[in-house]
Amino acid sequence: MPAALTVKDLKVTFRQRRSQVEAVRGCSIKIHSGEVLSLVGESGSGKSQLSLACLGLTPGNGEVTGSICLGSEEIVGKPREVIRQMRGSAIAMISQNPMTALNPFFRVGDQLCEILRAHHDLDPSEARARILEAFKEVALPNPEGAIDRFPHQFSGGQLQRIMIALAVSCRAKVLIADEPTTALDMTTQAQILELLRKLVDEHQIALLFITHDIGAVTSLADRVAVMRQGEIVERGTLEDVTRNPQHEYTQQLMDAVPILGAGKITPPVPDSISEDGRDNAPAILRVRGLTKVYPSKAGPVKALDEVDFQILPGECTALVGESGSGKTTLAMSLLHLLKPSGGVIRFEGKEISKATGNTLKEARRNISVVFQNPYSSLNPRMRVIDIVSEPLRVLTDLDNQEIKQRVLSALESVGLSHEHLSRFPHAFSGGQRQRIALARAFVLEPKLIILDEPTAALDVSVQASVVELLNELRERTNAAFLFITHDLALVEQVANRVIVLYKGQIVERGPVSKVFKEPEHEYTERLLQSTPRFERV
Amino acid sequence: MSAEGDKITFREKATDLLKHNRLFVVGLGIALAFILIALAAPLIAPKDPLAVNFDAKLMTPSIEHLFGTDVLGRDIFSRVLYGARTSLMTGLLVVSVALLIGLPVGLMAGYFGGRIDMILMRVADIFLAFPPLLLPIAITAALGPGLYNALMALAISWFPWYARIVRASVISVKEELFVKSSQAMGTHPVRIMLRHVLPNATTPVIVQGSMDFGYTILAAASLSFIGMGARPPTIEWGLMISNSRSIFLEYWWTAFFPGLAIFILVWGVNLLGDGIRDLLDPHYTDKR
Repeated sequence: MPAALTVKDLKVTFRQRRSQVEAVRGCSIKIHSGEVLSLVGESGSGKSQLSLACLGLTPGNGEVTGSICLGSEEIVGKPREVIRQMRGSAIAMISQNPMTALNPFFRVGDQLCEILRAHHDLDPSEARARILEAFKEVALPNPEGAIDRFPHQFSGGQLQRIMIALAVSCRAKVLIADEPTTALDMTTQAQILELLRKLVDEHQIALLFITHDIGAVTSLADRVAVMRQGEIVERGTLEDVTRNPQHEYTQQLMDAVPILGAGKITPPVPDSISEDGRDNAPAILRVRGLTKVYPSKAGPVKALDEVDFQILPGECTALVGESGSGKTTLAMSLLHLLKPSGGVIRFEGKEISKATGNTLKEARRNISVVFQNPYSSLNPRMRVIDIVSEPLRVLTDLDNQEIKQRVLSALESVGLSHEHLSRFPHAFSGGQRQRIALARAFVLEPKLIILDEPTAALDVSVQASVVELLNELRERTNAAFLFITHDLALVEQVANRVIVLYKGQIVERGPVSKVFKEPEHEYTERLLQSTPRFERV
Repeated sequence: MSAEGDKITFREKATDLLKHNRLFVVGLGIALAFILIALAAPLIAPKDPLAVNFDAKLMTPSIEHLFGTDVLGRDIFSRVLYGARTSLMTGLLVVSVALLIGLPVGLMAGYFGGRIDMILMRVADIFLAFPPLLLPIAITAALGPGLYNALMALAISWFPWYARIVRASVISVKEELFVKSSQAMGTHPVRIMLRHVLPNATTPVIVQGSMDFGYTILAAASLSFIGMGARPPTIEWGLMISNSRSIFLEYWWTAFFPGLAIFILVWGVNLLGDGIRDLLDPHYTDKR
């Protein structure tokens, strides 16, 4: 019996004005029914192009050669119309962002029925029954009610379940999941992966699981293929690839992945925390009873509910929580970008949440921020020197010469040099951009830096180097960090203490090692369990 | 494009357009030609465009008078050349004055939102509530006819379009993290608007402006035609057509050549506008 999906010597080439770009250069993969092959690679490795080719969705200027067989049926060279018929019946896809996969104007049931009936000879009631059945199978709560609701009435995790239900109801033999969980919260992610595994086993689906997240790989894949620059550099069983990587690149990748309990990178411990974990210095930031209420039609929503915490000089406190837990509201309140509804924020003893004039200016000089997305946080029309010098120009009275000096030393401290000064952001990679953002945050030598998922948009190998840079900067400048993240493995690498935020309230706090070893709150426990980990030799 | 997508530089895009988009080249050629004509009118015009000569009135096109002469015996060819000055100035002036008003209004409305947005946009709505040419006619009627009054009237009735476009792109740009990060430093709002928001929000306005350039010329000519715009002795194509209103069935050249000039210039400017849009569009890929 032939494998469900066989790709042989696949090449995808894009013609461009200057040159040809080979996105995929001669890849071969084979997936049997009931098997999960994980295709791992960083952005630009060609993994998405490979999957698009399998779906016959290569963009217009791309040329596909080689062979792709669904069962025994060759699809390379087939007219688009024929491949279109196969999509949704023989092969289906689950996309990265379930929020945009459905049309917000139509009820989910109607949309799914339409797709189903385009490929299968079913009358409306049969199609509906089949979707209902699939909804039950993916454990969507209240399937009968859900079928007549609109996409916005579901959470991200539920929507992803609906998309999986569609694939199941189409009876697709081959399923391609392109980063199906990256847009979801940690706990939801674990549930979706579990669901995919169950369906693969029950329906004997062949799943091509594309991801950059090694953690997710370990909890789902049977076999792994590692892709780099359009080629598959290593393949093998999950065990072999994760425990005993052969290729240099795979080794690098495995080393770079933050793993709970691996202890590869350890955060520096500041003088302010004594050896037994007690406070050794007065806190620089004290937050008491911080509350933020948003009005809404269904009554006021408490985004932050009586939040108390403090940060010592030079320490890194991780703020962990899922989307909607109030993490961002908290950060925005500290940055004076949002007005809290109640509570006190004291920075170096001075109340700043209602401050104006010089007190505020002083606070702003000492609190800076690094955002998650380095592509959006740098003004594309400004040169690096102007970007990094902006805080100095706004908040200090230094002259041009001094400003340039400060900018240069800030750039050097993040591993960039004077030759980068007059370039525009588009000339830099994601990791370099984040370094520029860091230089901007550090240029004023602030005492507190708020980092909002600073590595979430970066590739793993880049992430590791940024984490090391952060640790080094903290040790050298003795700035305190408030590190917002959802990745517990990362927390272990950067933070001294952790605060767990759940539905606007702090449910757990303490030194990282203690919280991770003996979580007290049920949510923390769940979070820890859903963080993928693997034991390496 | 591949997932990576190699960045096309502005220069590459421009050479690409010049090489492969014939219409863009035609538009650019026409625009440059008219600019040249406007600048060099005194040098290339064979006759004095204002010289009245009753002996030579309403002559058919000939070697002596390429486009013939009008009712007062003035050389139409020379007048058409001089008319380019008025028309180009019209387009430039109206669009830039409209931008001058529209940009700040849209910028403030979009950036501050709330009550300020409400007030500014409702004012803009009032201007948008009138049919396109009626408002300029009304304003000119109030100010008194004349080329500059007509131009100001056009600019005033035009600015709400720019204000709306700018406001829309400001609203999306102000959510970008570089704006937030600048706000977190406590940067003055004016500085944020000028340094961060405006440079990233102008592309659609520039495109719109270049497209409107042609339409303004047309509108100004229309105003002149109905006697609300340029007045003699200003040389204006719309006015020339207007003057030949009663005679052009017999003496077709008196209206044809100025009309042709309007047509070619507006067409060329519109093609140019299309090209500029492609040039500034980040999603532009070559459509060979």
